[in-house]
Amino acid sequence: MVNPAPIRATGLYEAHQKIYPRDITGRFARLRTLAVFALLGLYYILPWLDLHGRQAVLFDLRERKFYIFELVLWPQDFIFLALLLVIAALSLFFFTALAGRLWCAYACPQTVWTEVYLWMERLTEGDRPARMRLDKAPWSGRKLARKSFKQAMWIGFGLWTGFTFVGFFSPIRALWTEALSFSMSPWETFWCLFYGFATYGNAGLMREQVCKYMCPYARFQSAMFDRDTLVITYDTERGEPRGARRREAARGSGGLGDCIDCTWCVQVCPTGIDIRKGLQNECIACAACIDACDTVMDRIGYPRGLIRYTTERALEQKTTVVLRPRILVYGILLLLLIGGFVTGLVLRRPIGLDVMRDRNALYRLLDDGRVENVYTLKILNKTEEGHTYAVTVTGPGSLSLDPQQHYAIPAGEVVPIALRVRRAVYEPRGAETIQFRITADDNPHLTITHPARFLAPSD
Amino acid sequence: MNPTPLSPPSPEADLPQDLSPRARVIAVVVWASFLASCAGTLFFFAFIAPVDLIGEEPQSGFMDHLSVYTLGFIGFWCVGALASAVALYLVRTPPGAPPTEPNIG
Repeated sequence: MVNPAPIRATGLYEAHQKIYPRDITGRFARLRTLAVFALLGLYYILPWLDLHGRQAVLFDLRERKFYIFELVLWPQDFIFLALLLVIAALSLFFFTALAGRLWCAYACPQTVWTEVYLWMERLTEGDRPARMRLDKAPWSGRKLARKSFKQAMWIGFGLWTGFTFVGFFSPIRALWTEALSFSMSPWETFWCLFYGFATYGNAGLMREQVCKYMCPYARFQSAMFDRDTLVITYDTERGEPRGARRREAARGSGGLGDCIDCTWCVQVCPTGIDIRKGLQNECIACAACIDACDTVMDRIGYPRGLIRYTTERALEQKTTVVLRPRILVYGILLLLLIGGFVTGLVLRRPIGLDVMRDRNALYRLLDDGRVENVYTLKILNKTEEGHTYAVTVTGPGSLSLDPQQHYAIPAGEVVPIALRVRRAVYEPRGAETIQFRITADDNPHLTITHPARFLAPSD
Repeated sequence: MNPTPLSPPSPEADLPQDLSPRARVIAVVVWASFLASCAGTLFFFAFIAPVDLIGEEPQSGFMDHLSVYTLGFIGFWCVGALASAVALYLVRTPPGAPPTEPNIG
């Protein structure tokens, strides 16, 4: 009897071969470089900018306040943060449906930092053929020196990136002083090393594998694609049959298409794919293959655009539809959300009030025939100046406050105050809703009300 | 006459391997749970302050308010990684497969 073959699950991933992207110049390479400078410039410079004597952009975890230039967000403003995340996600959908993987190509931190790490690798180990030769060569003093120099640059840049990351959460100038004297707190040190190592690992070691195997967006972005989405495509009609030819050969002679099969498009690809095999999930739309192919076409005197940004519909000689239902729905939703976000920010009150009833007693009957409820008011001054606030209470019956005084709340502080509210027992009977109002003494527009229940016997 | 003076295709089959498939699986688990942990930490600490969990910040010692955020993040990450790893194990192990062959790689 023949034994059944043992059940063996197969691995999901093939063995990985290291990719050596070739350096390329061109329109899109310049655009990517511009994006790298703009985005990394923002990242590394922002925490060093000051405004009103404080760090301009600081997510102060200890004080639970987010400073974004003039804007100060509190935990109570969480809705804005949530809205911002939804807007970011919807923007991603909108631009992906419109123009493909723009995010991956120009703005994703993985792409941007990988560009910098690749630049350091080129600087220390040379261009693509030199790097391949170096990796194949046996260990020598020269190889050790080049590899060590690269690692030193990578690690140093990673640590600086980690330090900057912590500088968004902890005042960066003080952090720098601490770092120089090796007196950063254990957690600041941890995050500095953690983020530095993550940058080194993702951008230096794993690179395109993060996009291919780890990025969720790379997996579901195709759901937002349709036949009118801008993608990078090889023009098969024009390029095939591909093949090498003599330089002086007339275009189209020998039955050949425009592709000379130089494989530059493959060599420059950071994910190592061959765009000529069609649209692939691994393509991050960096357009390096367009630059490579355009360079080759220029050299041999053929028109550019054998590999280009186009749509599936345009390739079929039809007209691309830009304003289609998917785009309109994403666009309208995006506009509504941005409108709501801006309106909310403009109308946002720079003052907060929270009212809590005393949980120990429902109410207290006083000897003078009145009933008393005790409350704790939490007054939040979200402005950057201190204010003195008056508290009033309104509602059915004649309500009185004890104590009746004004409360000074420093800038950006929350101050709890205990208050007693009294009224005649049966005037009216039973529980009622009352309104607390606080108003700044120096600015009557700085005011807010908050409802509360006033409990009293009903018979 | 030579063809165009451009580099020929370079065989890369004998080049060294980068990350192993096993390392890639670990990376997927770690990364997915990291993203989930970022979202979880953001939402959790938007509503719960460290002072609600450990009281007023001590003047000295290891457990200050910043460490609560870090430990919260690491806690979310560990739980997320465990869930991801179990889900991946169940997906990758066919019913009836010998339990000694989890086939991580």
